[in-house]
Amino acid sequence: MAWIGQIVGAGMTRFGKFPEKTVSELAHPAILAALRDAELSPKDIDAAYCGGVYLGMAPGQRILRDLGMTGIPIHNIENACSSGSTALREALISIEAEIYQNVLVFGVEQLSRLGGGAVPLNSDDHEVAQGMMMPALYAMRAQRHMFDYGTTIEQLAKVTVKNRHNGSLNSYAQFQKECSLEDVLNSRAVADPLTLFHCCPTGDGAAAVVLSSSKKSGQTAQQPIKVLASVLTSGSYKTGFRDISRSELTIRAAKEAYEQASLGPRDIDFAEVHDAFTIAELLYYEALGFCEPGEAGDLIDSGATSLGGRIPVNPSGGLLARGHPLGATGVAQVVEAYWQLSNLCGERQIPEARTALTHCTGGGIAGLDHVACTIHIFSNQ
Amino acid sequence: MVQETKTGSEQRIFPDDWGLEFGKVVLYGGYCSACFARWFPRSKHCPSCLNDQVQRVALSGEGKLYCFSIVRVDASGMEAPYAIGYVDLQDGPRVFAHLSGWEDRQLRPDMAMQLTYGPLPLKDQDATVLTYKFAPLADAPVDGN
Repeated sequence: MAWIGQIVGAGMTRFGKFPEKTVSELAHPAILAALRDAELSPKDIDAAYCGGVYLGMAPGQRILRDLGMTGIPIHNIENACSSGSTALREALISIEAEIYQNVLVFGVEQLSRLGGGAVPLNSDDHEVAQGMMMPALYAMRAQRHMFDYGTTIEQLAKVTVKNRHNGSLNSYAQFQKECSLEDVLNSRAVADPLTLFHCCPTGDGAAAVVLSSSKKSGQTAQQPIKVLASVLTSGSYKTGFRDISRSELTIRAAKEAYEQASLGPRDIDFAEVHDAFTIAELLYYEALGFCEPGEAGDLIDSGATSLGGRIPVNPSGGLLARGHPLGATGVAQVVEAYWQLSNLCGERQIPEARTALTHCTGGGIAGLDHVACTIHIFSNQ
Repeated sequence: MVQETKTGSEQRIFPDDWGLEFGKVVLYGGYCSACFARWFPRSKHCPSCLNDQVQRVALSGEGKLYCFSIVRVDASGMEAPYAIGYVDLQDGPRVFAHLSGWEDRQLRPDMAMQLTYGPLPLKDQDATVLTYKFAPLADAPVDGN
């Protein structure tokens, strides 16, 4: 059974570095594009959900004030890298409960103002206070996956090559130039064995979708995209041994999402997954059930996850090429899913795409896989 | 979190969580007498059963290096390069720590490690802050480096 809320419009900005803009200037074009696409006006919107991490107090209200969406319920959501996708989930729940009919969901971030480098984590955390940061965490996952399964650094590097290729076909991607395997391997060392090109860039941008209740009367502008699953969960705390080659959080979220949608990994035509680092995409192939544990290197070698393969992953370019303005990412993945399922992706269009999965996870706290994971499954049937 | 010790002008990070007993470095973790859980660092409540009668106990000083990375970019106030990793102690807890001896000897996953201590690789050279570290078992000096 699909959720009542359906996606009826989407829009986003090109991701990149825009430190001179205000957060409102970043967000407005995405929101206006989504409303135009949905053929709805600001006064049709019953409520709004805004996802972001470093936006300060009341970003939703600040952003929507000048767009004529005031005096309505506005929710601001922070959930690390899953902020935007959690905002989507909250909106879906509100429509399911028949509280609202037309809801605006948007995510925005402006990391360029934070000065670059690794994303700042909370130094209350014992590990962060001693120098833990996300690249080091993923570097250790890479090391362990290579040690346990013989995955090679070249297989990791192929993820960047693939996603940069996809980004070169996406006018909204931060990186629109291809790169070679050598470019990845020879880039500057960050945390062994990961080099710079194994890591997603810091950047700014915004993405927005409009949801409408399928129970409301009246026609929608174009074929709405259905939501078959929406799942949010958080990492389980373990103080002792934990297998970091195995993403327990994504595995649990995926199981719940497939059950909710009555589908399996083989039913998914393409996926947008959280490739914050190359090793991440490989770990998530396994955790999402696209291949067996340890076989992610073989999967990328086979070309199955490239455009034209049996399960394209990150046709947009993913976090590695499209970019990762934290709050925007979760919604940008949904925008890509919507465009692919609506046959609007031009050169990177996946033919006959019917079912899509978006996966977003992140945040670092000692003893947890990640703080949050969201998975959504969409269909145009 | 960081405070001056009584004995010297050097500061120690997390001074409640480690120390020197008879010249030997020791880690102190939490122990729950209700469910026998043991973890690091100690917290007020047991993470397994929420019991708040948590004891402070000395943990094993030896363990296996589960994974590590040599960080090559300055981050979180630290100056690169520095090595950090997770050590699985013999009595169960997993500990995140800086690693010493990596410049001279190739570290490998599953390597046997021993507790030691030394300065945090802070970017600010004026401050010396000591922390617990792990070094390969055969090489570990017990009096810090």
